Amino acid sequence: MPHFKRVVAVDLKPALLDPEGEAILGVLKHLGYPVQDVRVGRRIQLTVSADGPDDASALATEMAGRVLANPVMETFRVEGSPDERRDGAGGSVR
Amino acid sequence: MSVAVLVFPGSNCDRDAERALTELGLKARRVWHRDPLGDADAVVLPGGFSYGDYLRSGALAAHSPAIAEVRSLAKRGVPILGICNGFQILCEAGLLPGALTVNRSRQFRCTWEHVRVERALPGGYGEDAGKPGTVWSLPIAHREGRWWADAETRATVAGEGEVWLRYCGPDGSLADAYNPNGSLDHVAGLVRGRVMALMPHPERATDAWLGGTDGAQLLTAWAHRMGAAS
Repeated sequence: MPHFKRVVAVDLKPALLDPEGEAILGVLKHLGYPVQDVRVGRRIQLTVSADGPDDASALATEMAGRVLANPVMETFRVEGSPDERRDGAGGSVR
Repeated sequence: MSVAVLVFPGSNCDRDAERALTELGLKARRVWHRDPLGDADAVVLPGGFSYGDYLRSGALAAHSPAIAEVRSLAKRGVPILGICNGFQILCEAGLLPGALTVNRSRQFRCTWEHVRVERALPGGYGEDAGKPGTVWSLPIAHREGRWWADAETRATVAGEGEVWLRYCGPDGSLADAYNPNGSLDHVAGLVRGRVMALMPHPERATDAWLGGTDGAQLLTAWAHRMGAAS
């Protein structure tokens, strides 16, 4: 079965306070950068065995919703690898 | 009647919980997460850092086979008590509403705090300890203890009376100054059916030389009202 690379990007919902982002914001401002807001997310890279690119994306989406992100406080996005995007397959599915 | 204290890799308050429950006269035993919970009459999920708190606190334990077993026990009405990391696991597993995330202060807080009992536990054992309005002094030790839920969930939790404990002052009053982590609605503990959990550590407050005995009161009230007393 072929392997596919998928990236799951997880972010805190906008309504949630992000103490880590606040700390980083403070430092960046201290350094003089004109930054207004910082939100910290997480990128999780998966290598998935699947029949095809669509199946790989579907599996990645299922794993993201069930384990990798907590739907109570986070949102997620599944991205395909750049190679597949060039081939017209994969790409951002959510 | 026996209480199983479920141990994950990274749990570190399991021995304290076992000792505290044993001193109260309960038959407590630690159970490794790969072993069956068997005929446990109640389950305690102790504090610690299960699976190193990787991904999110409690997230990986929440998807373990052991928690699948806890889920079916909970469905049968077996009392479940989560302490600290146990609370995080129960929220991640969806057995309690909302989620626990990084403290407002960004700091790991290791302090004694007051909590106010908001509702009586089911069981009606007739004990005065643990009735609404009771104020307990208990230690906390966490970095991810800020309870959060969306507006809809908060309304449900309030409507169903699922807040068990709130952080408060020594006199039971609510104020931001008494909220050590920024929890919404000052939530320190929740109850849904017979699944209960709290961020403070009652097992660390069972003797005067430990700094207080309110934890013993809480655990006794829990055990009696849940019908898990020996």
